[in-house]
Amino acid sequence: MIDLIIKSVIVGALAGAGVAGGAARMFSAPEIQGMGAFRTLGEMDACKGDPIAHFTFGLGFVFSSAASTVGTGSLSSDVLHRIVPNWSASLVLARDNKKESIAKPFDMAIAGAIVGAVVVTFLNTLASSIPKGMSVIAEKVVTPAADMIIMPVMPVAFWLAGLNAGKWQGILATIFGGLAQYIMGNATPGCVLGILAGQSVEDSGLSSKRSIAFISFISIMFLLIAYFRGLIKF
Amino acid sequence: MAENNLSQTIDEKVDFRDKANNFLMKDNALIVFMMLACAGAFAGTHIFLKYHTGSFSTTSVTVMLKGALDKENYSALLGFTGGFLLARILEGPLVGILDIGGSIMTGVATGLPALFLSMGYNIVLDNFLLSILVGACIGFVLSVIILIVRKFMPKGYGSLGTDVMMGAGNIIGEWFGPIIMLAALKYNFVAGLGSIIGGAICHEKGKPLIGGAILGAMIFGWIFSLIF
Repeated sequence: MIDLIIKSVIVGALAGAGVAGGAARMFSAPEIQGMGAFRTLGEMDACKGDPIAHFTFGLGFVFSSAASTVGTGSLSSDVLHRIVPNWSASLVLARDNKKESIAKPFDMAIAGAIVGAVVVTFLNTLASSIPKGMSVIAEKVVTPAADMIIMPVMPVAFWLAGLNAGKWQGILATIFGGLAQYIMGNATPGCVLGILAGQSVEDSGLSSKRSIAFISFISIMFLLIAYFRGLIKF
Repeated sequence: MAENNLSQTIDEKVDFRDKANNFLMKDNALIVFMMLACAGAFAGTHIFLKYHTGSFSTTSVTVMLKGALDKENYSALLGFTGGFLLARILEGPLVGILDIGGSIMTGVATGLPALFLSMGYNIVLDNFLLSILVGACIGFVLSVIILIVRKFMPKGYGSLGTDVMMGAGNIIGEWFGPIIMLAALKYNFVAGLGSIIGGAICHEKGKPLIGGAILGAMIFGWIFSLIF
């Protein structure tokens, strides 16, 4: 038991620090490479820098993660996707109450190490002590709501942002967003790429070197991703 | 004098934090976070193999890993997780956000352990310290690949992408509170009532609805489940 606790603290602190620090960098993407997911970014934006909102959103998933840990031994993807980023944000915000602090990677990484160590150790040792009624509510209320945000609210929000940004941004967001829905399972990354490529076309023309390079690079990557996900065979 | 020293140490502390924040904001600092996250996720699988708890992978993928371990046949799992890992590693630099679900949780926490086990390198996962080291090395390699792909990517869109993402993020933020309340009301009336009350209180206090909506639904729903 003692060695499980020690290992859980180490593993949780490592993974928590890495993921929370990477999540802080998401707020400056795509200029800087972030780590997390578009949905994590959307959910963190949804809490609008309010420490209580970040905390309760994460709390909902602690209950469903406990159910998964007891049932299958998997902490569930929610620990690194939702609990660690949102609780780290909550901790950082509670400390200095400035909305922009959640975009600071060092502060977030320190908070993430604490949150990760506590949450992973708790789930690995005490998950079975959580009342079942709580995990049912999380499963029936928070999970479907989060699914609705991922599909269709988020892709539509990015798609509309593309359509409102201009003609070419809208056209390319539509094309790449539609393809990304099939290839990656969600239109959001495609819409973002479409907006960026469209901006390049508006700035320097469709036949400019930069636009052609950008669009062909995206096309090649889409083909490769489709291949590795087993959607096309050569 | 003592006061002077105190304020000096505080200044130094703030200075160090700013420096650390700025350093970790550099593109290449991705390596640091990838090494940390992959070390944790890979060693989490060591815990799973030894204590049957604590895998960072998605629930369904962990169930697949368990099945592969029981049958000692890793081919289907390797195909699925390997493809996912490669697809996410290519997608990450393209869109600026690496999806840690497909890459780290599925790929590093399940796919690569399955690869090592299928080749007979069980020692990598049997030894806790070794699993942390190997995980950190995996993180290093993956982040270098991502940074190389980024170098090839056409540049020059400035901060436009970030602005668009922030704008869309604000739209999503406005949707989230009401959607939580709709889900609660679809589930049952008591949870819904809790979310209505919680949401209304939050709005009155000028905070986003989501916190109160979740807390209200959980407290009311939980009390309901105790009574009936």
